[in-house]
Amino acid sequence: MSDLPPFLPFFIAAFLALPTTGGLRKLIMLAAPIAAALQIWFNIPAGTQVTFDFIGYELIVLRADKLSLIFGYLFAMAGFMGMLFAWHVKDLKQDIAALVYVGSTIGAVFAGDLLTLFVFWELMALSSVIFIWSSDTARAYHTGLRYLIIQVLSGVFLLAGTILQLQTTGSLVFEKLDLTTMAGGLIFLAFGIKAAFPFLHTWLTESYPEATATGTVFLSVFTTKLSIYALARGFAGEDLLIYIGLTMMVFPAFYAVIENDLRKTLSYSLINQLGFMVTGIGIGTALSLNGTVAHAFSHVIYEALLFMGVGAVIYRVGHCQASDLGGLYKFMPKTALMVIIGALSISAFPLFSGFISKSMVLTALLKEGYNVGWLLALFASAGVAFYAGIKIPYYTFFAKNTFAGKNNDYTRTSFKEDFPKEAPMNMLLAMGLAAVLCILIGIQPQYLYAVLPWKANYWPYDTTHVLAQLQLLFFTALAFVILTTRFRFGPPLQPATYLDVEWFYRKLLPLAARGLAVLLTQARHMLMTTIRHSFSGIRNAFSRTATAKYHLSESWPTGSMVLWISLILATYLVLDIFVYD
Amino acid sequence: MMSDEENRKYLFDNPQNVRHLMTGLYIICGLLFAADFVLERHAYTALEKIPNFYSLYGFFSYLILLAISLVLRALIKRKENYYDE
Repeated sequence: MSDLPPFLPFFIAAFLALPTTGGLRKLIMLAAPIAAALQIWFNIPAGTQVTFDFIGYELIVLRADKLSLIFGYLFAMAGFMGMLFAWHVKDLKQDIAALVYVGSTIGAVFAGDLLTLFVFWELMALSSVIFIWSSDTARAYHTGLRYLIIQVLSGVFLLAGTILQLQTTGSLVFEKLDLTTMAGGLIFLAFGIKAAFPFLHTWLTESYPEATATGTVFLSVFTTKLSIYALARGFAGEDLLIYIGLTMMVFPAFYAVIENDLRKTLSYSLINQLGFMVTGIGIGTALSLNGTVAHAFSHVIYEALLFMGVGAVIYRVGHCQASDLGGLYKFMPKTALMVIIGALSISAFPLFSGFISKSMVLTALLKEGYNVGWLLALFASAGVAFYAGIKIPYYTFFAKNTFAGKNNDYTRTSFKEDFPKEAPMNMLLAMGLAAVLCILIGIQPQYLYAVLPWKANYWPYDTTHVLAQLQLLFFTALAFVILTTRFRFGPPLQPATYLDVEWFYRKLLPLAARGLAVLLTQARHMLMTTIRHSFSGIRNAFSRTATAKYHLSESWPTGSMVLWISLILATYLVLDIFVYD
Repeated sequence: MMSDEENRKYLFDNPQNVRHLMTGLYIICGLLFAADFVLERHAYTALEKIPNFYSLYGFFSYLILLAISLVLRALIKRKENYYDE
C-alpha cells in the first residue's frame, strides 16, 4: 500500500475532476502533483521496486533510483507550476489532458521495463495533443494531427524495439541498451524523435507555437525531458550523441534569430538547450551526466518561465509576434521582471540557474578533449544569450519604447482602453515560483548537486568560470547594442514562414503525391487510347481483307446474335432429346 | 484619471535613462576587459590563453550568428501563408 506508484494521484485526480467545475476542480488538480511529490518523498526511497505479473511477463511499474527520483520531483514540480499558471482556464478537456499528461510522464519516469514505458509513452502523446487542438483553429487542428502521427510513430518504433529486445535477450527490463543491435537502434530512434534530434525536430517547432497559451507551458516541459531521461538511462556514453547534441546546439540558433513568432523562437531555443543535455549524455562521464541532469532540472524551470511570460503576453495582447510588440514593460512590469529573470537564467548568467548546470557540460567537453565541440558549445551559448536572453525580453517589453495597441496603430497617443493589463494573479504566482527557483538554484547550487545521480565533485563559482562567462555574455550584449540597435545590422523581424524540415512532408510529399496522381491518370488515359486505337486499327485492317466480304465476318447486332445462339441451343436440345436417347 | 495615465512618464520615456543604461554597459565591458589582465584564469586549452579570449569570442560569435542568419533568411524566407495555399 505504501509503495503505490506516484502516477496514481494524477489519474485519480482526473476521475475526480470530471464531475467537478471551477475552483474545486482546480484545487483537485493542484493537489495531484503535491500528493505525488509527498508520496515519492515519504514512501519511495531509492531502490524501491514494485513488480506485477502480466500474462507471464514481469512488469516493473515502479523502479526508483537516483536518476528516476530527481526527474520525478522535477516533473511533479513543473506540473504544479503549469496547473497554477492555467488556473483561470475553464476548459475540462485541457484540465484532464494536463492531469493525464503529467501523470503519464511520471509513470514513464518510474517505469522499470520497456512495455510499461511504451504504455505511458503513448498516453503522453494522446493527452498532449489536446493542448494543440484546444486552440480551435483549422491550422492548429492540422498541426495537431501531424504532431500526433509523429508522436505515435515514435511509440511504434519503441514497441517494435521492445518486442525485438524481448526476443533476443528474453528480458523487458529498461537499462543500458546496445545501439548496435536492431532492437537498440529502434528504441534509439523512438527516443530520438521525442528528443527532437536534427531532422526529427519539426514536430516540436511546428506544434508548440500553435498550442494554447497555457498548453505550451506543459508541452515545453515533459515530452522532451522524458526522452532526455530515457537517453541518459539507455544510451549514456554513446559517442554518436555528442555529434547529435552539438548539431542540436548550433543549427536552431539561426532559426531562433530570424523567427518573428516568439514562441517559435523559444521552441528553437528549447532544441538548443536539449543539445547541451544530449551532448552531456554522449560524453558519458559522471560530470557530464550530472551536468545533463542538472541542466534538465534548471532548464525545465526557466524554459517554462519564459513560455509562461510569452503566454501571459498572448493572454493579454492576443499574439506574440515580435514585430508587433514592444514597450509592454509599461503595462506588464511584473511579467517583464519575471521574463528577465528567465532570460538571465537561460543565458547562464552567474547567480542564475542556467550557469550552474550548463557550465558542467562545457567543462566536461574541455576535460575530455572535445575542443571543437567546446568551441561550438561556446558559440551556442553566446547565441542563446542573444536570441533568448536579449531578444525575448527586449522585443516584447522594451523595443520602440511604445506599445502600438491591439489595433497596431502607432500614431495614436491615447488608447488607454486598449492597453493590456498586467498578467492575472495566478499567472504571476506561477511565474514568481519559477523565478524564485531560478535564483535559488543559481545561488545555492549545492542542494541540487547533492541529489544528482552520479558521484562527481564540481563547483561552478571560481574566478575562471565567472569571469569567462561574464565576458562572453556582456560582449555579446555589447555587440547587440552596437551592431543591431545602433547600426541596424541583422535580420529584420517580419511575419514570414521560414522553411525547415517540415517542408519535406508539408510541401514536397503532397506535391509528389499530387504529381503521382496526375501521372497515373495520364498513364491510364494513354493506355486506354492505345488499346482502343490498336483495336480499331485491327478492325480497319481486317475490313480491308478479302474475308471481310463474307456475311459471317461482319459485325452483327446483338439481337441477331442472341437469335442465332438460341437457335443453336434449341437445335442441341432437340438433338439431345431425340437422338442421344 | 485618464490624463494621469497618458501623461505618466515611464522609465525609458526619458532618453537620459537609456543613455545611462548604455553607459553602464560600456563601463562593465571595459572593466571585464581590464579584469582579464589582472585576474588569473585557469586555462585548459591554448586558445584560452589569448588575452580576452571570451570577450572576443562573445562579440564575434554574435557577428557570425547574424551574418549566417541573414544568408539563411534570404534562402528560406517564404510568404506568411506559404503552407496554407
